[in-house]
Amino acid sequence: MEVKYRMAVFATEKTIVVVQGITGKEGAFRTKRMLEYGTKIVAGVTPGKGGQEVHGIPVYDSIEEAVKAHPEINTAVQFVPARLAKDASFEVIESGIKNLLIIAEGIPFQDTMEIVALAKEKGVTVVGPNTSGVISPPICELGACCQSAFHGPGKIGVISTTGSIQWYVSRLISLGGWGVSTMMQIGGDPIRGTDFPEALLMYEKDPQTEAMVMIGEIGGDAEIRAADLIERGEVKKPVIAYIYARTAPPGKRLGHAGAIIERGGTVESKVKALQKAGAIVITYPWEILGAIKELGIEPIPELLKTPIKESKVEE
Amino acid sequence: MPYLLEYEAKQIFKKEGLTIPEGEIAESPEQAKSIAERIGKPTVVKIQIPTGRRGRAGGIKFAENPEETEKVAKELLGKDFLGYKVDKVLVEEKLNIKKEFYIGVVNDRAAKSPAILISSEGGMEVEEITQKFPEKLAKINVNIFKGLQIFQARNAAKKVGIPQEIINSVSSILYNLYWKIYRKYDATFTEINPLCLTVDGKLIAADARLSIDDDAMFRHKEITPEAEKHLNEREKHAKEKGYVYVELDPNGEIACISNGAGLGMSIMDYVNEAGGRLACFMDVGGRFYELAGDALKMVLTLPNLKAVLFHVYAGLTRANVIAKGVCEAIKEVKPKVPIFIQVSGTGEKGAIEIMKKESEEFKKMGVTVEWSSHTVTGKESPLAHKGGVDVIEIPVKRVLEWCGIKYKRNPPKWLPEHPEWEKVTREIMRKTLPLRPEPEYNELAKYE
Repeated sequence: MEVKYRMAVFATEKTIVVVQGITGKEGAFRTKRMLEYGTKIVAGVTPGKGGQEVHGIPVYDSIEEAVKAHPEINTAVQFVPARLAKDASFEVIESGIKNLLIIAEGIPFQDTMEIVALAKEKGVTVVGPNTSGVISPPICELGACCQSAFHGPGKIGVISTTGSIQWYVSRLISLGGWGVSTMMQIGGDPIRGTDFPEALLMYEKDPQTEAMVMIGEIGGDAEIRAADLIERGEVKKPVIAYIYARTAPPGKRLGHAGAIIERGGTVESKVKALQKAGAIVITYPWEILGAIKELGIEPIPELLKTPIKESKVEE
Repeated sequence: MPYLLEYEAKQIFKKEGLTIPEGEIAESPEQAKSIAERIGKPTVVKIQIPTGRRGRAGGIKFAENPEETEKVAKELLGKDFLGYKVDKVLVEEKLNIKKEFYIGVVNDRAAKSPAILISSEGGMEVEEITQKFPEKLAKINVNIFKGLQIFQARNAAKKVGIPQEIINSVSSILYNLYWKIYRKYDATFTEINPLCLTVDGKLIAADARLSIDDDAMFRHKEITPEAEKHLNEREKHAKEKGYVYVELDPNGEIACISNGAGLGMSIMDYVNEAGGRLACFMDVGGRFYELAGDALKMVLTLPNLKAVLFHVYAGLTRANVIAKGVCEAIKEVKPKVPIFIQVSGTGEKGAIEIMKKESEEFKKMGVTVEWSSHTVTGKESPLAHKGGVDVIEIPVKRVLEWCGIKYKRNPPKWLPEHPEWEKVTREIMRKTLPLRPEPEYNELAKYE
């Protein structure tokens, strides 16, 4: 099946990748899986390890050198520890690369603010931190996604704070025949490069996406700002939302750095705002296909017969 | 999130040159009395617990003399306030207040930048100021690279009606709060509420709140917040090892170890709504393989533990690696409580092979282990449970049964009820799975 459209940003057929931290255990393993999936990776960077190769990909000492040798690079995927993430991110943003995926969990908030502020100044789209990635099946996977949960090219856009329960929801959408256009895990940190409102607007512009599924959590007000966009008519495509941690005790940080009820941020407030704006809220993740079907969106029959792409590398 | 107690925050404020009332911390009524004697003025006695609204809860009391200070301290120490036991009170000079203000610096999640808050009203929670005096509260976003400039603070102070004669001094306190506290200590939030103007014209931080970013604590090794001294053995251990471990109820019956906060929190919801008691949830990371045994041993020290649930839907983590790690840990620890292992996602095929093989071993060892995975039909081994649509819920149901609780769904009333959507999902799965080219789905189709 010919893929006519792809999301305007991130994980498209035009995505050409440099992997930061490619010589690390995780970086090397994920590079192999991404390559097998079909992601176009042309370079890797690890300071001090320039000249090596990882799975046939040349390694450079700096982003500057990688970009000089491969000027076509437009996306950086970062497997770098949290404490080094600010420096690594600045290096990418200053290089002229326009898309940056930050995987690390545990980056200090104020470091992330600096990364996001610099990215905004330079017109760079950041996804993350604290994410496992972005995937547009079957053409491009960035990061460390559960590839087998995604079939496509599909019609449903998935935006999520989490992997785990989201892989399950995406898998049902894929097996049901609707397929996923792009799944973007925006991450569980309080300061996100791309948050729900910006992500919804990206999908709104993507001709392939017919509806969006939002998986959100307690803390902050990103889901409520997303509801405002829907209410104002800036997001016209249907939105289905599942918001977890509805029994969370206030004041307790629950795993994700951003998942805490303080000065608002309850599931109830988010659910009510989304419903008022006209979004569909599901109570359990397994209700997802019933909700999609009710929207009147037709599944894609070919997707039921074509195999789901997945790298065979498990260790 | 190390939320510092008032006295801890005030020590930092003092070190950084902000003016605080004269005072000291007391752990006994006698100590409180001698502090009051030294101060030689009427006092205020304040409970030290990690939350706001202490005044309204009756945790802040005034005393005229040392004897009264002792009496008040006796009333407060050892009591429970807002769910916290009081083991320290702060004894301070009582200020002669002319007017109270509010200043603070917060992380603005929506603007992705710091924001300063200032109000010519103070002494009540900022939410209350927002509601009662919106015109007297200003919020200004700060460019993190330029940082707060003093003119911005001045303009904001003027806008909210801070008296002209103290605008310069109030804005320089706000400036210091931004640079010397918020930025220097990686605060997620800091506030002075109230900032008091005394009758003799001084500006004093009567209260101090400071919360430091957990993830930035490596830059502030000199600070050991009181809250961390109160961690229990498991929490201390988890912190040392770098686990994401949230203890919800030390007397809970179920320990949940999942690979992601989203799954962990969803399970928390379903268990709570069914009337179960979740002791903790733990988010396992990529290093889990070598740490599974250690994590298992740690949760087995929960006093009322009746079941352990490993609920994994892997992306960044790998199901096969986790399955192997968990199985080896079980063989080593031989736990007496039953264990449910659900491993799906990246590495799922490998995980299923491991579980098929190992679960027979467990039976011989006398350890109760049941398991599942998304493409498992439930017939793979006598201990396997069906996956598919049920892969999230069945494990929750089983661990609750082990605790003697019959699982039932009981979502809050404000969530919509659409049982027909679940039916549609199942119908679609029954229809689509037999058509798929992957044999594992054809097999599952017969059981959906």
